[in-house]
Amino acid sequence: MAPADKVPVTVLTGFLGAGKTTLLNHILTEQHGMKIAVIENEFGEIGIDDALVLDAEEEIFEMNNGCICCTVRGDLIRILGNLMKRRDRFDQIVIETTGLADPAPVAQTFFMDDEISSQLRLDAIVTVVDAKHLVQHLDDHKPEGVENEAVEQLAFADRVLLNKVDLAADENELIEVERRIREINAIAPIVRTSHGKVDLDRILDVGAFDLDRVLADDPEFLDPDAEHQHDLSVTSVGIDADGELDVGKLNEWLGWLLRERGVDIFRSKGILSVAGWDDRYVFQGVHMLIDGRTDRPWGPGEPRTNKLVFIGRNLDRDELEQSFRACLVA
Amino acid sequence: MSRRVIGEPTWRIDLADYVAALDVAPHGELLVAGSLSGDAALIDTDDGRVVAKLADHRFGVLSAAWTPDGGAVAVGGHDGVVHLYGPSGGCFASHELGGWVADLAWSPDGSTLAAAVGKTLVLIQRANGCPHRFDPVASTITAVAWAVNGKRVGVTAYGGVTWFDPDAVPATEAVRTYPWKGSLLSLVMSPTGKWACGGAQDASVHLWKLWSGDDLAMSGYPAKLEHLAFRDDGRWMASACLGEITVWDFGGKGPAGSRPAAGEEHARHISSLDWEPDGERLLTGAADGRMILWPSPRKQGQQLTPLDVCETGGELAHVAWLPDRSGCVSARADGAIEHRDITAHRT
Repeated sequence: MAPADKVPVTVLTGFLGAGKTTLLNHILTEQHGMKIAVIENEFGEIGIDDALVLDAEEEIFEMNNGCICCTVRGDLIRILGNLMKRRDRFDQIVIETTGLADPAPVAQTFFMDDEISSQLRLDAIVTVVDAKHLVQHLDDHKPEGVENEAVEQLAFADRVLLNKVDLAADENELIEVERRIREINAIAPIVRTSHGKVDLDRILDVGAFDLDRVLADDPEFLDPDAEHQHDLSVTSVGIDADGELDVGKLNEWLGWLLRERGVDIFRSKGILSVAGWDDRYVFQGVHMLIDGRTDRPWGPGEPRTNKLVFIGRNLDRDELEQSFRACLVA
Repeated sequence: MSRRVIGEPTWRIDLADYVAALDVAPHGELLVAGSLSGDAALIDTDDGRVVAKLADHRFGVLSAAWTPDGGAVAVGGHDGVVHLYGPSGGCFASHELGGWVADLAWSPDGSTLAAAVGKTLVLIQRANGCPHRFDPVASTITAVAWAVNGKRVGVTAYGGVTWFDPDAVPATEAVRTYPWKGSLLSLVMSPTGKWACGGAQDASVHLWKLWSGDDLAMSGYPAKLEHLAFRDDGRWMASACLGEITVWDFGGKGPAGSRPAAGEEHARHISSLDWEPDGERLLTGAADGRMILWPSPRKQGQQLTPLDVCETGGELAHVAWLPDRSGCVSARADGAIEHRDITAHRT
């Protein structure tokens, strides 16, 4: 099935109280003419005639391949499998995760199960945050070894919905909240809203797992000079390097990267120029799982450059950049 | 001149959506079918007439099973409800079990229904319908099967096969677990009673010797395995992965170290496997709309050639032989259920 024919799936994540349910109600009641299926962890207050709302069990399991990152959601494989068998196809599927859920197993399900990946495409991970309380959640001190879920949910996001902006004291407070979001995730566009009322084009079927559209949205995200460097454990690192890559060295580097750093790299995206290849190589990753392909030929006169971005924990910017540059053809 | 083995449709009836469950009664006169739209019916296999329209299941039917004597049929759905019907379609018991009813299986003597409900195995007596719940297993149950002697019920889930003793009720504990670090999607017992086999999410078939628990895995498949089926004599077990069937020899000491027979004629994933009752031919149906009749392997490692390929005109969800081997029924993703004659094949 061609990517354009696959049904887009939006993963909705965010802390309890951030406004996910209000947003879902907005998505379901808006006059958009789309047929939407919602999968949530519990039956909530939502009851709309035209929409199918199914409950999931949040069942996470590891794939038996020795890779600790390859956890998937078994319940989603079953629910989505049945959903796609129905004669009436849905235009859009929204998966709501609980406030404390790790988005990685949801996203990885779309890489690890053939039945799912052949019919559905992960469109975007949308993280809803509360403008008034986000900073407090980010600054929560967690015991050693316990993840700060608010930080991780931002790190995974393709879109950040900054909700309840009407409750912020002033514009300066919002700017500060956005700065804190950017420190963790430098590439996800931030959409401001109140009461979850957002133009649905901004969050549904946005193609955030489509690299061309990511770059079209914010071509500056990879500019290293534009990055904020702070002493944070979860940050974004961009690499922008002209030239062509030695395919052997690149494979070796990617293998090393995913093996050694895969646990800490939440998201990765890139467009690469490989020596001897007429087409661009593009990839998207969640932890150790990478989905890569050649997409289109380099244009005449188009500079052959490499653009990559990593969002993760304890990333060593210099190590990443130097090891990547070592793959360039001299 | 080639001769068709699978005939043209003799009747057709339509359910509202993807036929998610279909089971032909052991006496062959009726079948039960239910769709993801939630409608279900008892259908006369002679002419396709609806004998009884059964209760709807909100969000879809997921499972259906006849008793071995054909005297009762159970239907379960996404709504967490199981209805029990007599052969004329009269509902004699209904149970709200509180979770998806992913799979149903009757005990060999037909007295007890095993239902996979979320993480819990529930047993329901046909005569007196007070459900008995065993302790939940670690993950959602994907399949349930009875040992051939009826002394154990096995359930598969992520983490392995868990066995329960139906005679130990009211005890709720599992009696045995065969662990497997992976997600199991299907469970079949060899008719010889010697083996339990599970298909796995991680592209392997896992086998356990009953009851030593010695196990082995057959890997190298390209994708997950949801469909396994033993020939009635227990000699061969077919597995379907994407568009290919792989048939393992369970004669002698079992398939360890053997090469399977294989056949690849489907262009899309196989959705259903059914061996000829007391016979040697295998029927497969797939998303490419093809129903294919295969011969049994004569030896290990054999490349199988179809006896007949039938284009049904729509994505297939189920294929099933009629018990007298005179024909088969197929059910499609668009809800169509059709009957075709199958003539004897002479080589």
